[in-house]
Amino acid sequence: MAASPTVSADLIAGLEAAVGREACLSRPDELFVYECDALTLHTGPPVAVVLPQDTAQVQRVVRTCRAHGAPFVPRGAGTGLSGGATAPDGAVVIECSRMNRILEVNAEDRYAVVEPGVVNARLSEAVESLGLFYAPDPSSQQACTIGGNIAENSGGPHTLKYGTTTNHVLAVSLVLPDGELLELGSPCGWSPGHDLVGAVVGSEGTLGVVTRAIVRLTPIPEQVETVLGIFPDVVKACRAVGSIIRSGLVPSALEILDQRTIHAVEDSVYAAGLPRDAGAVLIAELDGAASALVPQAEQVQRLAESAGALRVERARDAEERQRFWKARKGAFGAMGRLAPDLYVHDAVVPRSKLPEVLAEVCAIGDRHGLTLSNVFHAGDGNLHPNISFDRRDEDERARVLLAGQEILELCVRMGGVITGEHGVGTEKRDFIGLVFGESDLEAMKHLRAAFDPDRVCNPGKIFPTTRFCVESNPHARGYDRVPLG
Amino acid sequence: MMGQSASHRLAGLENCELREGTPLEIDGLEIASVLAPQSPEALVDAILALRAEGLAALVVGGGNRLEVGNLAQRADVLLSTRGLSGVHELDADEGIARLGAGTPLAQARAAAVEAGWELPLDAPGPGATLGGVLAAAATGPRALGYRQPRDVVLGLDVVLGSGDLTRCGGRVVKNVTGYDLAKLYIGSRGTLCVIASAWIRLVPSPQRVLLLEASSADLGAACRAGLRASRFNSARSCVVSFEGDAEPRVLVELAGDETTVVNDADQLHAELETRTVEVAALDAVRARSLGGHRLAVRLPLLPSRFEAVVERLSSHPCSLLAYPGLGYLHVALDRVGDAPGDEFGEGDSMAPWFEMMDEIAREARGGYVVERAPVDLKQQRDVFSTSSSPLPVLKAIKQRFDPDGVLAPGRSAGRI
Repeated sequence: MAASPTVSADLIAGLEAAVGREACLSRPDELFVYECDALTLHTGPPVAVVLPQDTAQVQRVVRTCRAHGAPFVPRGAGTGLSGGATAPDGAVVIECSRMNRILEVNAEDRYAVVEPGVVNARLSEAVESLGLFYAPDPSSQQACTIGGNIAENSGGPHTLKYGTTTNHVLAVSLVLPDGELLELGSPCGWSPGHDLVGAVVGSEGTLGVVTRAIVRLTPIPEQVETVLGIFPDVVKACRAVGSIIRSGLVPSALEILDQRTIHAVEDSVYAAGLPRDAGAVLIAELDGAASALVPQAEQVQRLAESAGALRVERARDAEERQRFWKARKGAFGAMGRLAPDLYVHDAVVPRSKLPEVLAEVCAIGDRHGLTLSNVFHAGDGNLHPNISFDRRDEDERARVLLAGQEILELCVRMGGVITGEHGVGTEKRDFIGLVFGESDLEAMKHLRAAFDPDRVCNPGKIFPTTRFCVESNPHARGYDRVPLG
Repeated sequence: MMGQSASHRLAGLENCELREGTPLEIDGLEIASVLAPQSPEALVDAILALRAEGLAALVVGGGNRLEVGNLAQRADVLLSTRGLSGVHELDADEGIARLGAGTPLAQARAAAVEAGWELPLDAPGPGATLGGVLAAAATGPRALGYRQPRDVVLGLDVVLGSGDLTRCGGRVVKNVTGYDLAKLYIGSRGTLCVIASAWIRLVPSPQRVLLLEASSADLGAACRAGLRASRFNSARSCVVSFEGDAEPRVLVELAGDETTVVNDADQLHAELETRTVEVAALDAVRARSLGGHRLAVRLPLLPSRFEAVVERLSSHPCSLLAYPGLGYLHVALDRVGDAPGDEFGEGDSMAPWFEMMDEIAREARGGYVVERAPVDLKQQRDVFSTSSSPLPVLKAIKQRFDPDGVLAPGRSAGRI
């Protein structure tokens, strides 16, 4: 394990030599914006930030860090919500935004070779004229990067049909913590031996630095039908989701917004004309062969009505559909209207448990006197209870944390897990013991040790800071500085 | 090999059957003892006992894929998962199931159908078990619609080579809690762990299934037709078979909602002059093309490479089965040419043939697996064509998960 370093002029000089002086930031004012990701409650300023332009520069940076005993943290756009890109003491942040080239697009074989800093949405835009798109579509897709998506195994509304990032990554180039370059996978998905690409995706940047990826491109569906179900309350909307799943339909997305979210959206630039009197809306999207979609949309409509929908509408054209999605994907931004801070939670439960879990989640928010809203991937059972608050209010912040913990415990009790797409990061590392036992975590540590025996690559993420601290101390999750380990 | 005394050392394990029978020959090793734990806890005890006794095991499910892999350095016992069978849970509302590793795929499939769902795994042969399919990452042609085994597993309970019973993933359909170790275990062929049970995401039962067949006098046209057919909305599988002098056959299986299947079938008929055949024909063609040959190679290929590669291989006396939509070409043969001395496994007669395969793999930016070969050929070469790049990490993984080499040492890529 590397010793905790002090910032040394030698380290900075080495980093400058690796990437060039203008691509190495080390003044406090330059580092300020890198002290957290989108989980703003966890902060930790790095000692330096480097902005490499290619794999060779990343290798030089990593070797320089090792020579000086400095841990390092890969970072994409910093849109992560679990503190995955937050620097532990003495760490160097490797910011990949300048490695943002789409190196190759092969339409016939349906893949693209990209650098990690390519913004998610830019890739789909780049291949749209070829009739293709990149399927994982996190809500932050206008800003988040493919490299960050690989680290977190990001999802999005359309993962219900298309899967998460892991289903779309064919190969990666990985700079190991000793600076060596590992090529894993191939355009045709070939890997000798074990599926190391699958192991790297979702490893939260703890196994190495991804400097290139080959990703699968998907044909744009022939037609899309978008159905908007308007419900008196969120529980009935959840029941409709259960009916749709059970019917054997495979929608591409099933998303729910509750009333508080609807109001926030309608008060914002993302307003889409959603009905303010609705207790919840369900956006159900179907895609595929044009001939089959109309009857499927009609079936969704019937199922929604049977579950208690007040009314059901269908997007009349692409413009209206895009308006619905603008509202959905802009919901998190719109919540900035409700309070200075937003805690975006992320947990998963069996879809059949959604009605009772949602009712209890709302009760938890009420019990703690919090402004809690829900906008979530209902088709995957992936909840996003969002708590609006003011972090300057110590009492409210404490209640936010307590409510968050109760929500996680509830979800695990119902057969779920503590994160569906945001990752564990620093946010939930001390809650992973709710889901996994000691031997389960040991197996994960075996994998970590095979890639990074000295734990210098993004330390302080995923694994509990203390042994089963959740069991021994339910309040162990402090917003302290991130220790190494 | 395991002598009587070694067998005796494993006797007395609770809840674990130990059978002695006619030795089974696998890659030149004769293994007469079969250890069959009846619970995950008994599996832990069995692996700990193997560790303590310094013995090694080959894990076996249905036994369809035992020949895949490098030669084992040691194998004293077959460790059977047959006692770990059963449909532990099937949630018809969720469309998920938890199944014991030893559950025959046919039994699991029947349970899913009864609940109104379908098991999205394509059996590689009769008697295949869930654990075997996952351990081998066995990919049948229906993976075009089902996706790969790695994509349908939600969680696993496994016993590592260290003897630790561990879990990864879970029962929900979306999950990034911790490392995705299931990806590591699936396809590791029983070299890191023994799968005890798995959570599987089921898929809706199709309203309609149709198998269509087209013939083509031309290899290239058959490849193009196969790729075209693979890209229809309801295409669940598509194979193109090239056997001897017979005309290439394209078989495409459509599955899904009635409207889409019927429309796709009409369009395929118009484009490729297909005819409807019995659904069972797909598995029959698959079995005939791949079975019985002395050498079988699976070659991942980009779709755009199929035509050229098939043309190149067609001058050799081999049987080819292509899954163009999935990107796999299976090559099976008994000799490299028609001349005397073209039998392989004799001297270095196979060297030029494998040089050709290496060149094809390089051009395809991939590799290949020799899935079946005579022992002497396996002694000469690693059955996984591989660059040296990931080998240090693969070795470190083996060392961590199976520190004493209990599970099939030597069988993985790089003879690890």
